[in-house]
Amino acid sequence: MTISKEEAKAISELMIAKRKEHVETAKAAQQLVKENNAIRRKLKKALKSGPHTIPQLAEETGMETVDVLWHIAAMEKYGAVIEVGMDEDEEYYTYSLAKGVKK
Amino acid sequence: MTNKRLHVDALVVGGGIAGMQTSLDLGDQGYQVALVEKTASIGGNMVQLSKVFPTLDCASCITTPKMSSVHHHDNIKLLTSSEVQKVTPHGDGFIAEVLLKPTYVNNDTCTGCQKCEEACPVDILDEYDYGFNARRAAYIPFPTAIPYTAVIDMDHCIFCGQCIKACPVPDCIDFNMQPEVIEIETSAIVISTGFKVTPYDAKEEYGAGKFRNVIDGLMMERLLAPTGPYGHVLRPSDGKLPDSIAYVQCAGSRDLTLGVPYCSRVCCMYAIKQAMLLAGALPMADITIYYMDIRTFGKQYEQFYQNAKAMGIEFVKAKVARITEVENQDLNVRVELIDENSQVVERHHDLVVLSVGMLPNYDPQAVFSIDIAEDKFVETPYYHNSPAATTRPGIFAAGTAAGPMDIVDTIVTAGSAAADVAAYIQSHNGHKAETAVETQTTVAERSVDHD
Repeated sequence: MTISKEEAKAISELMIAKRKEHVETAKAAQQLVKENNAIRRKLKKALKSGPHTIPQLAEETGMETVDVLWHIAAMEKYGAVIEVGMDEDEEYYTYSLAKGVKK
Repeated sequence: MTNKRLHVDALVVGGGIAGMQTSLDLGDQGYQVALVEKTASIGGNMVQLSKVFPTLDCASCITTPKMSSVHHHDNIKLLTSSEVQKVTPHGDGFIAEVLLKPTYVNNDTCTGCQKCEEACPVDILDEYDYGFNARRAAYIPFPTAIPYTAVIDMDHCIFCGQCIKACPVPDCIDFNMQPEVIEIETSAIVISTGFKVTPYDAKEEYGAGKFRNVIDGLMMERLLAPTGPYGHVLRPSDGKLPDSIAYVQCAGSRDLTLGVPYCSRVCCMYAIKQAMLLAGALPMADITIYYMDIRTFGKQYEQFYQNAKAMGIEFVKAKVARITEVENQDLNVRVELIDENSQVVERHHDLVVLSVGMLPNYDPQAVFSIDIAEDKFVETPYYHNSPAATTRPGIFAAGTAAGPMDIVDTIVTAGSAAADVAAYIQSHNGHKAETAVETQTTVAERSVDHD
């Protein structure tokens, strides 16, 4: 949706006021977004080379498998990652970056 | 805060399957109903289930049409994100004070397009999927939510304004929305506040909460559901397809150490159902159910159990003493085999499901002045003659608010509560329901605003 400059300014002013009203919440959310983005960048970088299983991604990124699974599930839900197949032992699904996702 | 007053025949508290069925049964008879639900969508626990026993019908396919009927019914006023705070006697009936919590989205104009959700940068644990997946701070509670409108989670908002910019409807998202209190004048009240499960980490020896691959029955429902967090049944620790799955029965019921002496009545059947679904989803997996005794009391339930055995599900009469984590986050289950001279053995599984029991979801004593029984569910003292009646005339209970029961019994008690309410209204104020056809005024039209 395209919005006018005036509308954008009004939204921006409202958000500044709300951030002042909810300082702790806004800070915590900001920290969470930063952490999530850093993790997603690592996962996307690993996925650039081709499909990976959850343990493979964990090994490459140095993360816990449980955390990798959560982020991959989230990225799949919101369209950044797709499931593409299974590993040779048919124990784990493999995941790839979805088409059009910035690597 | 505005002071609106709504006039209805019955106030139903809780929008799960019991509350929806009671509302529909009353609404269809022409009674005016207000249905109050504390979360942002109706549907309750049932909408999260994969399938129902013993028919293996899709749970969502049963629930969703009822949710839709409630939402579109002329005689039902649906109030989500709302809670009853106070109930006072008023003539032959009651006045309930209801708090409408702000969702920061206008339900009347939101189209459910999810543009706000797509634009929101905050990912947090999705409680609908028990944290196995993420949701945004601007979100629609679940794919079949009713009302299908967004909610802004103000406790996790980053206040970036992206949701407002993305929303195609002017002024739909309103960060200045305030709580509102309305009064509902009603002849009768139905408590249908449902159940919660025994905390899955209540028994420390089973390791849930510590070991990722020890989960509970409702979590497995989400893993089995087509709309589940992974799209497949995967181990939460690492995404592996489980090869050996164990169920531990009575892991939250019939256990004095947890203060839950009663049988929850559904755990045997849901474990058998899930085992059968797992056998279909994971044909190579071994599935074992450790049980004290199997209780299959309902119509066609015993046949369902026999079918599960015939499918190769292993039933082991045993008491599970302890679960420990071993290499690769697999699990060792130490069991005492009841039928084999109390022999103690350790068996290896890679996913364990605790069949947790049912607890009441809400204590109605303070707000509704009704008694609860020894088991803490709503007391229904005239169970054999008037199963829905509570200790306070005019207030009734439906579904698992009154005790553990399955979906079939929940729907039966909901019908019973609707019949009791209709009889009560007629005997107390002589008001007979107008038929749906005759009713020209809807709940909304009959409401009067008092500023």
